[in-house]
Amino acid sequence: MARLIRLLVLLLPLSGFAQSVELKLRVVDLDGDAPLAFVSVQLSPGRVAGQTDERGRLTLTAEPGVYTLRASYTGYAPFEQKLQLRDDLEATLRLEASSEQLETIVVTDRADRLALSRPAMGVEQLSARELENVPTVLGERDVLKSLQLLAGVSSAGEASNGVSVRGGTIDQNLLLYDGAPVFTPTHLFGLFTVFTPDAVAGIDLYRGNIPARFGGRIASVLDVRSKTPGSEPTEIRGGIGLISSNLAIETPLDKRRRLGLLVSARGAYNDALFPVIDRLKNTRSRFADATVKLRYRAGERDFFTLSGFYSQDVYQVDLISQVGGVPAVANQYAYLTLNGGLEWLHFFTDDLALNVSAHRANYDPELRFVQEDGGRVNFLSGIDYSIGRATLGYTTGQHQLGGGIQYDRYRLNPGRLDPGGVSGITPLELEQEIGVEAAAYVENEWKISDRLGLSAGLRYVRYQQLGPGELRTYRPDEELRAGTLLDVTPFGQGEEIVTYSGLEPRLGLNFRVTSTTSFKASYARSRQYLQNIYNATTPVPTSRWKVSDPNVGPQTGDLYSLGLTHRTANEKYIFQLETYYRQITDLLEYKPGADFFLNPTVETDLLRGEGRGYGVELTARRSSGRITGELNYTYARIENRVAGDGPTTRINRGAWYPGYFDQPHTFTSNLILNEGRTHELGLNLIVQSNRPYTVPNGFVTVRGVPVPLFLERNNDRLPIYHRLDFSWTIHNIKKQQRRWTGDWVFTVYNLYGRDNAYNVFYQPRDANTPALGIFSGSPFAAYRLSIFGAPVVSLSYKFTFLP
Amino acid sequence: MLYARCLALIVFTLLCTGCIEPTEPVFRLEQPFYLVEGELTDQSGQSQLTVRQSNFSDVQLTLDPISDATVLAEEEGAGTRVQWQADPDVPGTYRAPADFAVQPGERWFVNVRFPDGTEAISAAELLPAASRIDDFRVAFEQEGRFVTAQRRFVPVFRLLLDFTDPEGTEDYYEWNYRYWEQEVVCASCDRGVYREGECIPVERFTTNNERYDYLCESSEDGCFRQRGGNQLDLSTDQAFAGGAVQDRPIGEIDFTDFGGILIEAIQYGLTAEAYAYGKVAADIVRGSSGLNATLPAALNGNVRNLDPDGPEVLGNVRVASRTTRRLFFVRDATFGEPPPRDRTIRLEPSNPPFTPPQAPCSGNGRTPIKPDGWPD
Repeated sequence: MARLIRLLVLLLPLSGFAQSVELKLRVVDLDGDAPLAFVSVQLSPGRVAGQTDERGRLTLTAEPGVYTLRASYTGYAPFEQKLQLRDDLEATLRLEASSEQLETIVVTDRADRLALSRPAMGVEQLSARELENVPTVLGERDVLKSLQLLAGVSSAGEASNGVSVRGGTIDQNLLLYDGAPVFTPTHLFGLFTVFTPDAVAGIDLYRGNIPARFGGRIASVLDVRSKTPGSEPTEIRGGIGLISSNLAIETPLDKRRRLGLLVSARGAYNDALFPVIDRLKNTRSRFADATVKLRYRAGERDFFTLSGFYSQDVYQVDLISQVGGVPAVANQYAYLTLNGGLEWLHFFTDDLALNVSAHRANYDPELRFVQEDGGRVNFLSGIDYSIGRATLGYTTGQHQLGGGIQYDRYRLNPGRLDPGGVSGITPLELEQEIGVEAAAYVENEWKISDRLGLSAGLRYVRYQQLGPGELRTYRPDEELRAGTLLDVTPFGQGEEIVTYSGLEPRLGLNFRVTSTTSFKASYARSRQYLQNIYNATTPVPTSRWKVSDPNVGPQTGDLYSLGLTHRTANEKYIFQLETYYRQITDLLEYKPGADFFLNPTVETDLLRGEGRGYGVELTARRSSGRITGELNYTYARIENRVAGDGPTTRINRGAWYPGYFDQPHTFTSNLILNEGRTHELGLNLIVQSNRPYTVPNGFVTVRGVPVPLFLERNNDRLPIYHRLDFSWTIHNIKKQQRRWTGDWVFTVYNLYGRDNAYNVFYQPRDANTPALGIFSGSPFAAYRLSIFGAPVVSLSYKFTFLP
Repeated sequence: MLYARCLALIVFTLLCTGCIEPTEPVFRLEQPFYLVEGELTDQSGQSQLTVRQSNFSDVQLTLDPISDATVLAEEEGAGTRVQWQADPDVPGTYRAPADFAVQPGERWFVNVRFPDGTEAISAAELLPAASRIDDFRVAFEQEGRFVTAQRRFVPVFRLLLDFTDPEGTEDYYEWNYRYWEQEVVCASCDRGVYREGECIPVERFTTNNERYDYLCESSEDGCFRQRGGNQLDLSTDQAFAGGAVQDRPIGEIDFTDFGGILIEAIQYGLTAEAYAYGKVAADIVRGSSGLNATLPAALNGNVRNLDPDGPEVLGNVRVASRTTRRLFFVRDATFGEPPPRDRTIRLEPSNPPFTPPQAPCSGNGRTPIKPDGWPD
């Protein structure tokens, strides 16, 4: 039962006889008056809702009337009170800390808030609470896997180093963690996300109308934020498991809770167990990640945040093809991410704020060639990425204005071969690549009337490739290859090699047809100057990144979207329909046999083409009652075309062909049955068309070895993918406020053990190939590779200890 | 107020990662094509060509040999022409005269005329320089390679090469190997008997064994069987340019039986174009099974139909330098143990005056000629 909370109300008629009234709230801790950030607040009926900002402040706009005001926040007793709004109002809510985590009131501030009233489209927000309800793999809460339950988001398979948004490739998504980019978001080649689970506060996924403050990728922006420490009492969480162990500490460092610290870490040393299993004797796997955040509230108007993120992996898996060129008995992969950031948030007034930040991201992947005698040849590459950003935000009655400047500088090390003392190997180093992006943007979200809203943004980006480097000039209108190279011009440190620039408009429109139905339209243009190049079904962490240069220009994406959103009168259901069309120019593709390992002239292995994507996304959501959940259906296509002049510069004879993430039909459902007291059951179902793959058109022999003959690309499709996940949570069975309360969580990933195909490949038959009837008289054996072919069960116990 | 929450006791069952299951190989067939593939080398007797035609019949795709084509090798700019002869023992294979060997500085191409009048030529290539092999040896590993089909590790002999890369040039390599073992049994018949060169099924079988083995007709040296590496192992010299390379693995031979074995390491010097062609093929074959499988790619060889509107002609004919080194040793228990298998020789019973026949030491790589390097 909710406790009585003191509500201090300041009756300040801030406006006249306006059609809507504003409720300005400030939410603080009852004990100490510390502002509480990210508190979920809701007015009902009407489902007007929001979250408090860093200073615990929130402004809600509603029509005059009688409402129930609800607020909920982890670690605090929920608040509920009737309220009559006649005029604009200021109020302070004081919440009392509570050891009970009551589930009776769920404040949904997610897409419902955005769905009807704002022009934003294609935006999904998931809080840490919602992430906890998603069944996971091997007991881990997984950010990327939870996103795959949303319309328009899929993966390349269970071992995929990222996600595909609306058919885009993995590197077309900008993935930020506390403002710094992350280049490899998974551990163990796609099985786990790198973000330390207990540190994640929420995720914003922009896949439609990407705000003008973001740029550099053409498919989506995934903005992941860690928790903000200091405003909550000290909390320690931990876990011990067969795969990984984790520990998180979130605590204020002073009595007034001005300074807060978050430290969360996870480590896995799986390969200690692998030698027990014959098949895994040559498999190595270790990973670790950690998040650190220090937040200081200098006063009522200034907040400083220092953040850091660390992630490291080492693995050796037979299922990853060996890299040629350097002989080795095994290839090992190791990669390190080390990010940091410093941010200053200053409120000039309640409506005018400045945010200045600096971030640094270091990504260092390594490929180790293990020799017969245990020696090691190392291939090192890396990205050093620096960002400086200043953003000004101003809110008036009808406008939310924003503007800012951003400067990105990235230095790529495409590869350095270190012999490591192994004889016969020559040290090699490719020339570094440096790119800078200077951007300025303005954006305005304008509430023209109660029915009509408009968002307009404009981003201008000026990109430069800087020396040291080379400008290689080829014969015009001819294939880029060694034979058409005309000239090589060197550039010194800091000299401009090439410049690309352009405007990127972002437009959105929201029209409320009725109080429960709204229509939206949006357009966004984006450019991508940094891209991942890999001639494979999915990139490995050591896959090469490439800056735009005179021969490899940026990719450009234009996205058009339309949408319809409807909320039922009883506020239980929300329905969304979105349709989109995306055009990509200067799409990157690869020549047959493209190999970027130690290749100083990668442009000779790249092709430029065009892409088009289109789709319809349907969502039905129920957010209250015993059964809550979401159903999504997506029909989406992505097609590429590379129409060169010769057989080496065109693909599929210059016709349109399915893109690598072309999955026409996807159905997902996420259902939660909560009986209200103790038990909560969850089911996730995914049914989708699988990826395209290539069936050979025949075979030839090379040196006596039968080799599949591929005259086309992506001419067939893998069998349909479907999977059912189950979770069962038993909450605090005695439902008493005790020093010790516990939850049991039982999850099953892939409940009925569907053997989903990841790839189909052909290999010449030899003496070791079994004489199976399925191969008949073919010179090839064909195999289907799947990742999880059996249910994965996990059982965990969570308890709360109150000393 | 201190909160402590602990996560404990995670239990896992049945984690199946990376399952590989056989599936039916299917093809999306295009128009029929001719396939011309081969090489001209600087070693006498080692230049050969295969000429075949694709055939889709009985739901199978095959490459049928063409034995009545006309094959000419021509030196570009010199006018020298050499006619190659069809090998009567290997249909579809054409060989240069025994004394034919490409010399340094020469550029050669081939012209193939098919029975239907189709004429194809290859692009001329310059003979690359040969690189010296400094040493060749083997290293044994009892658990050398995991064989998915057998779900076990198998013992292997790793073949290791030392060589010196020339300085100042961009070099392209391919490695292969072949090996000889002595054969005792040259024919085996399952639930049948060997007569007149073939297995005749017999309904009545007097023993529980399902197989009869027939000894090889052999010279006093015995019968030898040659097998090839059948691999695509290529590299540039980027990582070791101009240096001495040691312990370069060039292949593996499974340890299947005891006894002597003669292994020949073969090192080719290739042109850049031949390397590119072979590299694409190698990536398709070797790199297709991983989680990061190479994207399928078209093989754009250097053979083309002189009539662009005529039948499709695919393939690659290269000019390559060839360096070899041989090594003989006896496989015995000091190395380790081969995987268990049935090594019993089951001869058809003699019933005087009937004695079971012997099978000729020929076909399938068999030869009664002792290979060079096999000790007396």
